[in-house]
Amino acid sequence: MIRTILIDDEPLARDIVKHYLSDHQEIEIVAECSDGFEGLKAITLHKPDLIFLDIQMPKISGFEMLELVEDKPAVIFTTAFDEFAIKAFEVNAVDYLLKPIDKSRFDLAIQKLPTRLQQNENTEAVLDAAALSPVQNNRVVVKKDGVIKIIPVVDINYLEADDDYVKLSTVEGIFYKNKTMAFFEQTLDPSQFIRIHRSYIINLAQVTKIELKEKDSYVVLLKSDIWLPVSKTGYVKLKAALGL
Amino acid sequence: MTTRPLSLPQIQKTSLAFAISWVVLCAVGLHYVVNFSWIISFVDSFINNFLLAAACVCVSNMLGYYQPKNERILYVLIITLALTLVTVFAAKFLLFYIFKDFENYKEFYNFSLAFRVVIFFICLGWCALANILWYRLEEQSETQKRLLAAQNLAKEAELNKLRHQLQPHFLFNSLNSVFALTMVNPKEAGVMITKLASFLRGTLKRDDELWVSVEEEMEYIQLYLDIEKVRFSHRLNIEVNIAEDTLKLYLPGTLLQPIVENAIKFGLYNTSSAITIKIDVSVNQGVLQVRVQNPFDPEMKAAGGTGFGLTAIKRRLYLLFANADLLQTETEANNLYITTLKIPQKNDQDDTN
Repeated sequence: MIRTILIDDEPLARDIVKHYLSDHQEIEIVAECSDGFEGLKAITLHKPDLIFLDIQMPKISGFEMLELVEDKPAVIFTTAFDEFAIKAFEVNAVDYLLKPIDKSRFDLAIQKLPTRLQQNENTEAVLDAAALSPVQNNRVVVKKDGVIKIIPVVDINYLEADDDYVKLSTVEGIFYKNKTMAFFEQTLDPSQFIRIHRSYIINLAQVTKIELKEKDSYVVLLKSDIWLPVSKTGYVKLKAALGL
Repeated sequence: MTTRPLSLPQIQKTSLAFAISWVVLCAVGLHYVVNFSWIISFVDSFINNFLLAAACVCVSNMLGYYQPKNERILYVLIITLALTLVTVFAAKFLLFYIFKDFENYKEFYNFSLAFRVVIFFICLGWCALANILWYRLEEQSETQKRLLAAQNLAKEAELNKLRHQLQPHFLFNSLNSVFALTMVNPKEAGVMITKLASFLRGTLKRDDELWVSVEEEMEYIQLYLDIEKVRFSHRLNIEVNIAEDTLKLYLPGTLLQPIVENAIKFGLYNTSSAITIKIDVSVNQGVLQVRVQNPFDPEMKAAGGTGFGLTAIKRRLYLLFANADLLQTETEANNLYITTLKIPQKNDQDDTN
């Protein structure tokens, strides 16, 4: 038995999937959710094998919700029109269904399921690609003590590498995100965020001072009164970004 | 602004190289053919050619500033002739002053004067023609660039307009809802399809220039809200109050829908609880007033950064009425966002079609 959760903010859209699933006795619906927060709770609670996920939903998008899920189930995305999402799917070949969903296309997605239940790398690639979309690259969604927080990128002071995580130092405190420095370097606006060091990316608006520490070695002072080291290549980038 | 030929480094270099070799050539000619000393030959060649070059630069700049539309040839002829005479006599005066004791040289100079005038005239004339040609070509490529840019802009605007009219996200989601209704409630599906069709028809005939009556506009808005109501029946409440005396008033048919759409976007799409969207239409001292109220999630507004997307509507209002205060927004303490649109009524309502 495959256990699944439907996540879509429109009841009628869930009805279609429910209706189609009635032909597939091997799949059982364990929960229905109407936004990403509910979806996240339900996934943690039920640990489903498969989810049907809409992209544009209140509060956080389907992509942002999925980023916060630790053991990702197999995902079939359902979306009506989101140019960017569709591009992300096409490059990464995760299964997605365009609304209104065609029955035979739906059955095909279900047929492909057994192989998909094993490997999930493609979903990660979709999430990375989707993070470049205009809505998503001006905010970061994080989870702390079971509470979901939406952080506008302008509120980030700096980012620091921390093992498998990236530590976000923001106006509202410290948060951790399970991503790489390279990922943030790519998705954050390069005119606003500069990677000054292997372990640091800073918000340019936060810079107050750059000082020479030793020969060829610089440090930068942020508004939050924190000194960070600047590498040689980082210094070149920083200078270029500040127009020096 | 057209580029001047002499402002390009490549042309500067070529001209300079040409001028230097020409000076040397003339000097060598004078020295070997007429047997003057090296000093006399060089000074003569240098002064004459320096003045000639200055005259060429002068012609080039003059043509850059001003070119008559008609009588271009005559204009060029007069300038060239005048400059020729001025330079030839200036050169003569200078050289006679420097070499005033060399009778031989002076004699030769007077003898060769006519020849010098002809050479100067030909050089300056050629320079003028080359410059005219240059500016012509510049002008043409510039006009072409402008035309191309204008065409691109027009195309982009047209595309944006179409794109906005069709609202693909809304359209496909609505189609999906209709599709679901055909399975769970076929009768309701039929009603929804006709509503969607009427709404799309209304959308396609909208135009900035076209004023519509409040009655017609509110029917159109109602269709839009009805469709959203089908999609979000479980949590969308709509309250519409239209004062009786406003029904025969008019407003441009492109303004209200985006405002309501904005209210739906922030009030409905970005929140997950049950919400109420309230629209009040009233008239106050001959000014039509539409007030749209929607709740919002304060956290989402902060995350959006840019606030509510009404800038485009403000811009359109300004273009239509030359008044930026017709659209006002306020935020109330209990997370309610209120947009107020004011439309002054035209006295002459014949052009409302």
